[in-house]
Order: sequence, then C-alpha cells, then structure tokens
Amino acid sequence: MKRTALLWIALVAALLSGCLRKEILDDISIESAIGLDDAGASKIRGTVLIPIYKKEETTNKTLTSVSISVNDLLEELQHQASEPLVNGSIEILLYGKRLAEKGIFPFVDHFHRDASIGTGLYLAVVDGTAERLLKGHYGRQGNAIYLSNLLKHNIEQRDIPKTNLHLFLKAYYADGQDPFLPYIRRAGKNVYIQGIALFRGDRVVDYIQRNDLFFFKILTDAYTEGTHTLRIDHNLYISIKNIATSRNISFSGSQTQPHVHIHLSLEGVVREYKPTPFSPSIRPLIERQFEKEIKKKTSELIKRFQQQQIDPIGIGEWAKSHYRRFRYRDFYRRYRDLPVHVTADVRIRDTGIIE
Amino acid sequence: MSLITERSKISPFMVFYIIMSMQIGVGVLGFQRIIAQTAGHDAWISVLVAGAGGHLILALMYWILQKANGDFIHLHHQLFGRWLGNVLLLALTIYFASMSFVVLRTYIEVIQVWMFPDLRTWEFALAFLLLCLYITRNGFRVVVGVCFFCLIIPFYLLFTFGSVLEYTNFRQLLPVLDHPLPSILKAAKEMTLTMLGYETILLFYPFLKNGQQSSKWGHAALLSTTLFYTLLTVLTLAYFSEKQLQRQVWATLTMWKMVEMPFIERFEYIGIANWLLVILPNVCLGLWCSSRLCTHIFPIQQKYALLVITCICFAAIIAVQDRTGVNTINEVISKVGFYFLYAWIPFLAILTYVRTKRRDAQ
Repeated sequence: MKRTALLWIALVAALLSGCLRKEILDDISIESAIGLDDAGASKIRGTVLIPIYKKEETTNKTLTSVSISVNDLLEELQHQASEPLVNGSIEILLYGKRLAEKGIFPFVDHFHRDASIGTGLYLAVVDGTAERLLKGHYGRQGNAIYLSNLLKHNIEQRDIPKTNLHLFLKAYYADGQDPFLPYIRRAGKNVYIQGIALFRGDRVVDYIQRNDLFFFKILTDAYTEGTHTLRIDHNLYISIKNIATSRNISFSGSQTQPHVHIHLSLEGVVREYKPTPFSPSIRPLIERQFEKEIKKKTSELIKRFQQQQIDPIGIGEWAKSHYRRFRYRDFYRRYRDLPVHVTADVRIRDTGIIE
Repeated sequence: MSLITERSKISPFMVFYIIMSMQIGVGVLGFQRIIAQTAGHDAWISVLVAGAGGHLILALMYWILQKANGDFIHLHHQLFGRWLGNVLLLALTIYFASMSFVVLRTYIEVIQVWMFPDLRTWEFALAFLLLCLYITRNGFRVVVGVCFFCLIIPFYLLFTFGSVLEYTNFRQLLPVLDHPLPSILKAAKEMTLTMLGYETILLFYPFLKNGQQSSKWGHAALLSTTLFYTLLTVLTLAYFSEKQLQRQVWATLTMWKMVEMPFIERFEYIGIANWLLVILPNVCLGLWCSSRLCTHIFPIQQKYALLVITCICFAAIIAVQDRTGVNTINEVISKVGFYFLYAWIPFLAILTYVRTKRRDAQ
C-alpha cells in the first residue's frame, strides 16, 4: 500500500517535470548572425540572419528592426518572425563602423549574459553597415557559415590574430590590454578582410591595413602561418611562409622606468623567389633583410599604438606578470614615451622541394 | 552503541570514493570568482593551503575517533552529558541536513539560469528528493554504491577542460605570491564550502571494517580533491583576465561554453545534466548522516527520521526564492562549516586529550 503511494508520487513528479517549454528544431528559427548598426539618437538598427535549409543550398533570410537595446531589438523581431527566434547557434556578430566608433560594449553585454550563447563565436567590425553585408548572398552554406569560415581559416592558417567573443571580453576587462577585431567589407558579391579594427576601451580608434597584418599577428599572437613577400632589390622578390613564431616581451629597469624589449623569432620556408634561381649563399642575406623589415614595421606599429594610447599587444599584462605590486595607472601614464626595443631573429629552414 | 552487523559494513578503501564524491559538489561550478576576489592570481595557492588545512583536520578527526572507539555520537554523550550532548547532536543534525538542502537548492538555481528558466523549484526538488529517499532508505551500503558510481561516471568531464587550453595564458599566474599572506589565507577560508564533505567520516566511521586503516584512503581522497581544485583554479586563472573572472558567477560553466563538438553546439548543457550525478551522493549522504544522528537523539527509527528530514529539506528548498537567497544560504553553511571544522573539531580534540590524560592519571 505504502509502496503504491510512493510510486504514484514519483509518477506525478516525473510527469510534472516534463511540462517544460520545448524547443523542437523544426519549429524554431535559428539566428545564425546578427548585425548591429548605429541608427542615431542612441538607437541601433539590428539585422538578424536566419538560414533556410533547402535541399540544394542554404538561403538567407534577414529581418531588420530599430530599437534601443539588443534585447528589445530581438523581442521586436519576434513580431516579424513566424516561428520563435532562438539565439543558441549564432556564428558571428557584426558591428557597423559608425556604431563601433561610438562604442560597442553595451551591445555585447546581452550576448555575454545569455546562457545559451557560446563564447567561441566571432565578432567583427564592418566597413559600411552590417545590414548591407548581411543582405548579400555568399556561398552555398549560408552567409553565417561563409563569414565564420572566412575568419576561421584566416585565423588558423593566415595572418589574422586569434579572436572571438571570449578573447574580446578578456581583453576588454583586462587593465593591461585593449581589444581588437577583424575589419571586413563587402565588395559586390564577395566579402573580404580589410584589416584589423583597434579599440580603446570599446571604441574603435584605428585600423590596421592588410599589408601590416603579418606584423600585427606576430606581435599579438604566438603562432602564425602567414606569408610575407619581401623585396630585396628593385626587381628581386622572395615570399616566405612563416612556420613557427615565438615572441617574448621582457622588461629591464625599475617599475617606474621600464624598458621594454620585444624579441620575435621566426622560422620560415621559401615559397617563391624571382626572378633568378635561389642559391643557398644568399640565405643569410635574406634572413638579415627580413629581420630588418620586421624590426622596422613592428616598431612603426608600436609607435602608432603609443601615440593612440592603445595597447592591443597587451604590454601592460606582460609587465604585470613581471613586476611585483604592479600598478597599471603608473605604467600607462608613461606609456606614450615608453622605450620599446624590438629585435628579430629569422631562420629560413628550407626552400621547398627545389633548390 | 548500537551494533552494526558485519554484513552492513564496507571496506576501508571505499572511504576514498565517499569522501571525494562528497567533497565535489556544486561549489566547483563557481568557487573561482570568490577566491580570486581576495587572492587574485595567487588563488591557486589558497586552494593548496585549504587542502593542507583539510588534511590536518582529517587527521584530528581520525585521532578523536580512535580515542572514542569510533563512536562520535557516544563521545558527545560522554563529554557533555545526555542533555547537552543531545542539543549539540541536534545542531549537527541540522548542519548535515542543511548541507543537502543547500547543495540541491544551488543546483536547481543553476538549472533555472542555464537551461530551463521555467522549471519550478518544487517540481525538481520533489522528484530529486524522492530519488534520494529511495536510495537512502535502503541503508548505508547503497549510499556508498551511489557515491562510487557518481564519482566514476562523470569523471570524463575532466577531459573537456582540455579544449580551453588553447585560450589559456599561464603567464597570468606570475608573479607568484604577489598578494599578501592575509589575503591568501582569507581566500583559503572562502574555499571551505567547496572543500566541505569529509566531516561525514565522523558518522559513517562505525560502518567501516578496520576503521583506522581507512585513514590513508581518506587522506588520498582529500589530496585528489585538492589537486583537482588546484588544477581547475590554475586553468581558470589562465583562461580569464582578472576583472572578467569577477563577472562570472559560474566560471566552470562559462569555460564549457568554449567546448566545441561537431555533434553538440552547447556542451554546458551536457555538463550541467551530468552534474546531477555529482550532487546525488552529496544530498544522499547528507540525509543519511542527519537521519542517523536523529535515531540517537530521539526514539525514532531511521526511515521515519529520514522521511521527516526530507520533508523539512523540501520545505526549505521552496522557501528560498532567488539568487540572493541562494547566496545567503551558501554563505551561512560555508561559515558554519568553517567553524565546525576549524573550531569545534580542535576543541573536541582538546577535550578528548584532557579526558584520556585524566583517565590515565587515575
């Protein structure tokens, strides 16, 4: 008798627990990308991309609305959607240039707070408006996959430093580092990576152009497979593919008068050499030349960061783990005039399958 | 002392599973923020300090148990007399019962925030407590079995932290010992709630074959837990920047957000669901301990005591309504646990010492 009663209670409890809201994949619209643009008067114009899976290829549907906050915007968009919009599978967040220059943090917070959103998704700044970029049609797998793949392979194998929501927030909250995001642009039927947008706090203040990306990546990220073409003479070019990089930032002097020393060492292979055949005897020459170029370009970049009072490399964080009782404020007060010395060490490992 | 038949006793090495599965509970999901608040990037040292403190107290417990012939309950009656002893034991009953209640309520909050916002607290609590009742009323051996499986099955979760390695920067842990000793010790104190659980040995000790032999297994469990927590703390400190970590209520769960698998988009859902197994022994053993204490205070059978305690826990769980409430009960149990371990146990040890000295003198 008692056992039956217990069984009944268990049954009722089990049934009641089953009464939660379900989200069946066929009955929801999954947002795969969100673009946010400035709409004046502290309002934002949001575009949500929903992939529609068909037999042949994935087509894109966009919904646009204007509102005051991201959450409000997504609520607003629910009115336009025939199926509930869910945001558990967002691949990429895009911010229009004008919004990015005004500050994006208020519009990142929502995605940070939402338990259903991963931290591995990409963020990017768009030259122009995010809306226009999302309304294009790229690739067969849908725009969101296209864009995230575009960034993914450039991060993993080329010259874009590692970036995602987690790293953006990590740099944003860190006192000794400023965030940066990829800077992309739509050109007709294509999207290309134009460079890197550099932030001070949550506002974009500067952009790094494409030809400086290689040097930016070796400064900020430990590993890159980027290729750089070096001009040795007026007609002599060599392409070197980077295999392994290591960077070390060391400090000398007291905490009040630090000297920064950045050492970059690269290991590369020759990819292309023209117009004469490559001879092993000129290898040291090329190595020295490349070292000189790295020193010059990276020093220029660092000077630029110092003038802008930004620290995308995170020199402050390196300094913090070097000095005891470190104080960021004192460090950044002198940041503009900080003596930074760059040295490089290049080693060309092989020359491809021909010599 | 009620006699425990040989059949219902367990091997000493099972202590390893009991203590470890009891220690690892809901605290793991978010302890990092609390200890990093005072000790910053030196928080991992605090974990080690807390672990060392735990070993000390565990050794003291074993010593007391040895002197008391393994009966912690009887010891209270001997030291404080029938009446005062019962009052103290009742306090202990409430302590163990509230441990179950705090763990379950905190876990329900995690489910509500991360997975099902519309989950009613009472629905889940009822289903879960019925399961615990079912396990616990079948006796201590069944509870131990649950402890064993609930440590082994979720073990694979450890490997999922490998995927955050790509984003860790261990230089953030430097310079070591950058924080003054008082803040490191304070953070070690904050670790108490996460470390809590090994004090259950005081009650299940009579159920061990060769109690004193289990001491090495108890210490091994404590050491494993400490190392696990240290590893997790080091990973967390290297993964987040300092101010970012301060914003994470459940740092461990946030780290799972980075796990990417081709067949599952959000891994933390799997993790949270699996955590049910981790907290199951916590709640069961807490209920078992408090119901066993009850049988020595009141003339009541264990299964009825269990029913009453479960009902009280259920009522308490429903009474806590929001985040602030959950935080408060966690803070309270953490404080009580700290004083129980680091004040009450040494005090008992001193009393026991004095008593044995006096008896020897006579």
